[in-house]
This record gives sequence, structure tokens and C-alpha cells, in this order.
Amino acid sequence: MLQNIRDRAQGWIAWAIVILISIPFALWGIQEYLGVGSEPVVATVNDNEITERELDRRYQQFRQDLREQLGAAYRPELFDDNRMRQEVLKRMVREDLILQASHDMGMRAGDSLVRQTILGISAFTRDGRFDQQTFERSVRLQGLTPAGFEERVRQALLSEQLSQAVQGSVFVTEHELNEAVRLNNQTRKVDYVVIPSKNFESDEAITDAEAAAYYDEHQTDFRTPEQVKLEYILLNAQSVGKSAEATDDALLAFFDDNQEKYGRPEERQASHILIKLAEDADQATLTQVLARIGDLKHRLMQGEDFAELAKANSEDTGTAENGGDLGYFGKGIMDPAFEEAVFNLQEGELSEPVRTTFGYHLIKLTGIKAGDVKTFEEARADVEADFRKAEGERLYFEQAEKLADLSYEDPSSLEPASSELNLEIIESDWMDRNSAQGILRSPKVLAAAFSEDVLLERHNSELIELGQLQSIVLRVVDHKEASFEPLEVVKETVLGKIKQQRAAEKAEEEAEKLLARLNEGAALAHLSGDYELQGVDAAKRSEVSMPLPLLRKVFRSPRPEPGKVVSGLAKLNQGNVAVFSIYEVNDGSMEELDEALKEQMKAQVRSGLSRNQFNSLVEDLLGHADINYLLSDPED
Amino acid sequence: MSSYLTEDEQVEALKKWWKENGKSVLSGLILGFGIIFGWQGWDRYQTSQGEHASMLYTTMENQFASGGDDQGTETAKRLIGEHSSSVYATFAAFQLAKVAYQKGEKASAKSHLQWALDNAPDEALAGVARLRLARVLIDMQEWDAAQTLVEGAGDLMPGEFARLQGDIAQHRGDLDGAREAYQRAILQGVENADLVRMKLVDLGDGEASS
Repeated sequence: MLQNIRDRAQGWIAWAIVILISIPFALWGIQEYLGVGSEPVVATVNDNEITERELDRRYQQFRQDLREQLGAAYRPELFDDNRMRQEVLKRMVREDLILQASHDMGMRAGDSLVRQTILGISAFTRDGRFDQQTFERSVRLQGLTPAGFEERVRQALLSEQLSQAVQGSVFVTEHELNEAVRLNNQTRKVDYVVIPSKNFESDEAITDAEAAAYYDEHQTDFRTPEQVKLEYILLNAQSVGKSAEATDDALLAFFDDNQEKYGRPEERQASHILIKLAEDADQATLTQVLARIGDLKHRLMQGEDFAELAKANSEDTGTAENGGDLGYFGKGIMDPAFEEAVFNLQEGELSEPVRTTFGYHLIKLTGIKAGDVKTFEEARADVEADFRKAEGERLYFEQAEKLADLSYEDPSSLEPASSELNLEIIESDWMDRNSAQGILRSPKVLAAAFSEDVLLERHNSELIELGQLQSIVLRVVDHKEASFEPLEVVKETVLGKIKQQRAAEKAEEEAEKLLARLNEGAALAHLSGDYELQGVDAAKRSEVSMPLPLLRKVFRSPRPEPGKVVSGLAKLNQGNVAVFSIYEVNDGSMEELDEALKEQMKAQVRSGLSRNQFNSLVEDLLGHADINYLLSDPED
Repeated sequence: MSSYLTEDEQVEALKKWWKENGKSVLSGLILGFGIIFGWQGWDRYQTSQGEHASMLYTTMENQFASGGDDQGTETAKRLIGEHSSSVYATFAAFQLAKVAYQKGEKASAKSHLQWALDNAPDEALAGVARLRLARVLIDMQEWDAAQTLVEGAGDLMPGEFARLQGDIAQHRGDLDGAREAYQRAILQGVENADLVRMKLVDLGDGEASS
């Protein structure tokens, strides 16, 4: 039988079969090398995939940007991580889509354009020129290769081109501008009276049933939010410093170490002449230099001018020009041998030749600025304050660690931590999320106070860092669920509200009556009676003299026909009601505007148009694209 | 079927097979490679054309941005001439229309936008061109032409087109039609919606939605 198979396996058909079978074996695992399908995908946009790794990287970048933008106001605990990731992903999808669309439209960014753009990025320049090293370093800092960065730039260029092409070429037509000015700058001539609800307040009895009905209808107004009462230990560098031990010895040591802080040290001015001498110079050179310096010293003793000699002979080229003057300097700046000599001279005195690493010097002391050094006793108060501050900062972290440990070891009480660290336990008032005071308002503190572990388990919180060397550990001592105040408690408030409501209703009735007569043709001026008649001849949309609800209503009313009046009423705050009559509407016109206002108006109309045209372009793309979100939404 | 084939016979069979099928195998291979290389060449050509147009477009943008309207216009015209089917030509036409309109040359602006509408390689961009052209036509009081354009709009930017519809209807004294169109515009989303609301109120609709 084997023979039979062998016989038949000779034909070309058999060979073809063998080749076909070998293909899958040859290609097996090739996707590992091509990088296809091996990573979790969070979304697909048409044929393109967005991988989890890409999303993660973008999200990191996004948070980092946010932190830089917000600075101290950045509070990661306020952000819902999952929601933010969704947002970032949506943004990536949008970008990807714009990119695909621009590619499909035939948009390209060539290497030369990309290069030109990168050369123009100021972050990569040093001394005003593009610097390859700076470029590579900055790019790697972002976790990219130069090639990867170029690809990013290419993509950014394309979407920039597209948005610029659509938004940048928008223009406003004269017709549109005229219309905008006509309507926006319209003015209306109007009279009005305000009917105050106060006039209609009465002591008419309110039944219990009415009160109960009002209470039921407005229950949310009488809701008390969830509240907690806290105990906490606050640790900060200041209080740590205050309780630090400050013995005389410690203070004295601190004073000695930081003496320069307590007064200005002495400074001296000197001139010198230098004859250079290498440290390993041979005997002959040494003799020669010594002879020269001896000669100079001799000439100075004879009364020759130091500055002149320095100019002619000093080998310290920097100072020779100035007659060897070094200016004022304190201790710790010059070569030790030089310094010792200077601080041992009297003013005007000339030194013996002094050997330093540079060579031989002749030094003349030309000035002394006496230091203003305080004694320890004089500076004591300052020293102690500074010492406590420094100690506080030094000990803070140590203490914070102890506090964290102690409050963790016994999660049911703050006592051990308090007594061990000698820190006071402070008790708060009842507070809800919005009524917390001082440091307790910090979102971190609130998040901890209302967390499951602290609120329900009644455990100590973790150590919460509040910044600026402050931290807190807290526990909940008492807790009230959100509740509705019972009617008995809030009855007074309810009665007051009902009274106000009734008065408002009556004011409105009165206003309706007035309006009815206006509509019959009576003039507001004749009907105003007890109410003060007020009028604005040319009320603008931005008129400030009129109450806002009235102004809105006036501008939402139709235009009166010539010779006629349009009247209406507007409910104002606190139950007051206004009744108004419009006599005239005057359209705005371009002639009334100066150039600046015209431009402003134009810009306003244009910005709206350009935004919308690009957005609808993108919306259209979104509508036609095949987008799948594979990232699990935690809320579903 | 159990005949042994000697090596010679095998070679002979292979030769015979090649004689019969060689031509088609070879032409198949040539065709296949031809398609692959041809496609790659075409793609490269497209890319280089696109890159060239892109470069020209960027140059044009920079020229306009730095106030060189004449140079910019020249570059834009070159772009349209050399790459008329490219999307960059459409962009250039948009820009030319803007510059022309701002100089007061409305007819020229109109013809640039018409060109963009006819030649845009993308539907959405054609929609943008259509909207702009309709706005210029309304400005030029060519109401019938504007009406035709607005009616031919697809489902892109429905709110914007509804607003134009309203403008046209208002001009023709069809106040009900204008009101309906403006309301539709607000509902479907339109930029400067406050302005559209004002128009609506101005037509005498006291209860314009806020």
C-alpha cells in the first residue's frame, strides 16, 4: 500500500498539494514580526486601530499637560479617571478621522515641509539656531524617537492645514454684517411700571393643609445633606518646630553655623602685585622671582606709588590695569594664604611677599568695611525662630511618617498618635461637603471623610498630604444621613413662603388687569396710578437701568406697527411684576458705528461661522465613519 | 497507472508540461508584478504630486498671512493650474474667494466659489463651497440662484442652509416660510444662533424659544 502512495505521489498535482500545505507553516507566527493583532485595541476607526498602549501614552501626556496648566489648582482626585480616558479616546478618534479624511482627500505633507516645520520649533533652538542634540533630547523626553516625532509633526501639519483651509478662508458678507448690526444694535422706546408684591401681603390665615401641601411640593428645598463630625490631627512644620527642643547649646551651634545671617561680615579691600611662579618651579626660577619681588618691595618702601608699579610689573593681567585693585571681599573667597595676609594687615600697610598657588604677591590693604556682627545674646530671638523653622522642616517628614504608622496600627483611635507625638486632637463641627471650613474644605480631606473605609468602617484615614509641609489624619466620630427636615421644624419658613407666593399671585393679577386695559388702548402714563412710571427712550439689548427679566421680555416682544403700541408683562424677582409698553423699535445701522466697532462685529460673526463650518465637516466625517469603541465603559 | 518513470522520463514530462502551460504562467507572473509595481509607482506619483501641492499651499498661506496678497494670489493660481484635481486647489479657491470679496470684487469671489463647488474632490468640502457661494449670492441679491443652491444642499450643515432659506423667504415676503426656516435652523444647530433668534423675534414671533 505504501508503494501505492509513493507511486501516486509522483505527479505534479501532488507537488502542488505539498506546496500549498507548506505555505501556512512558512507564514506561521509572522504577525509577531509585523506587530499585527498582538496588542489590545480600544477603538477602531474605519480600518485603523487605536491600541491601549497609544491611549495610555496619550492619557499620561494629557494629565501632564493638565498639571502644567493648572499648577497648584491641579487636583487629580477631582477627576474621574475612566471618564477622562473616554474623553481622551474620543479626541484621538476625532484626530484619527481627520487624519484619514485628509489623506483620502489627497492631502500630503512631504519631508521637506516636515523638516521646515521642525526647524522652526523654538524649543529645539539653542543660541537662536536649530540644535540637533537639543532636538533629540527633547523628543526622547516625550518618549518618542526622532522618526516618531517627525510622523507626529506630519500628522499635525495635515490636520492643521485642513482646519486652517476651512476656517481661515471664511469671510462675512456685507449683507450678514448689516443684518447683525441691524438686530444687535436695535433700540426700543419703552415705558414700564413695577408692581411690588409687598403691597399685596396680608395676614390671611394659612391652614395646616395648605402648609402641608406646600411642604410636600417643595420637599427638596428642606433637605439637609449628609453630614459628618470629624476628629483630626493636623501636622505641620510650624507646629513641629514650635514643640522642638531648643536648648542653649543647640541654639549656639545653630548661631555659629549660620553667623552670616545675623549681621554683615567684615570686608576688606586690597591691591596686589603678582609675580607668577609655577608650584613645581626649579630653584633658579625661584631665586629669580624672589629677587624681583624683593626689588619691588624695596621700591615700594622707598615710597614709589603702588598702583604705578602694579601697572608696570604685576603679572595678574586682570587687575594690573587698575593698579592691582581687587575691590572689597569677605572671608572664604581668596586663596587661604592670601586671605590670612590680608586680614592681618593694618589699613595702608604693605605685606611681606606671600606665596600662593599663583606665585608671589605683594599686598597692600587699602580699605576695611567693618562687619556688623551681632552677638549671640543680641540675635537670640531671631536665632531661635530660625532654628525652630529649620527643625520643623527637618523633623516634619519624620513625624509625618510616625503619624501615618501610629494611626494605621490602631485604626480605631487617634489617641496613641496624639499622645506619642504630643499633638492635639481637634474636633470639627457638623459639616457637609459644602459647609466644611478651612483645611477641611480640601477636596482630598472631603474625599477621605466620605470614603467607605472612614465613614462606614470608622477607621482612621490615611495620612493626607495637604502640601506646604502640612498633613492630616482624620476619623469620623459621628454621621448623619441626608434627611428631610420635618414640617414642624420648618413651619415658619413654609408659612413665609406661602405668604410671599400669595402676594406674588395677587401682584400678577393686578398686572394682568393693567395689561388688559392697555390692550384696550389706554396709555400706561394714565394708568400707572400709585406705581412710578419709568421710561427709557432708547433701550439697548445691554441696557443696565432696567431689570434683566423685563429687558429680555421687551426684546422678545414683536415690533409695534407704526402708531401702535405693544404691551406685555414680565415677572421679576421676589414676586414683583412689571408691565410695559413698547412705542418704537429703531434698527441699528452701520453708519452709527466707528471702524473699531465694525471690526469687532465682523470678528464676532466670523468666528461663529468658521467654527461651525469646520465642526460640521468633522461631524460629517464622524457620521460616515465606521467607529467602534472597545474600551469598556465603567458606567454601562 | 503503476508505471515507473525514469529520471529522463520525468524531465521529459516536465518539459512537456512547460510547453503546454509555460506561456500562461509567465504572462500571469508578468501581469502580477506589473500590477504591483505599477500600483506602487502610481502611489509614489500621487504622493509626490500631493506633497508638491501641499508645499505650494503652505507657501501661499504664508504669503497671505504676511500681507503679500499679490504673491499669494499668484501662488494660488499656480496651484489651481497645476493641481486642479487636488484638494489643495479647492483650498486655494476658498482663499482666493475670500481675498477677492474683501477687495470688493464680488463677481470674482463668486466664480472662485463656483469653481470650488464644481471641482472639490470631497463631498463635505463641496458642501462648504455651496454654503459660501449661496451666502455671496444672497449678498449680491441673486435670489433665484441662491434658492437653487440652497435647495440642492445635502444633509451637510442643515441648520446653516435653513437659515439662508429663511433669509430668502423673508426677502420674498414669505414671512411664515421665513419663520419656519429660522425655527428649523435653531433646532438643527446653527452658529450665531442668538442672531437667528433675533431675526425670528423681528418677524413678530413673540414666543421665540430662548
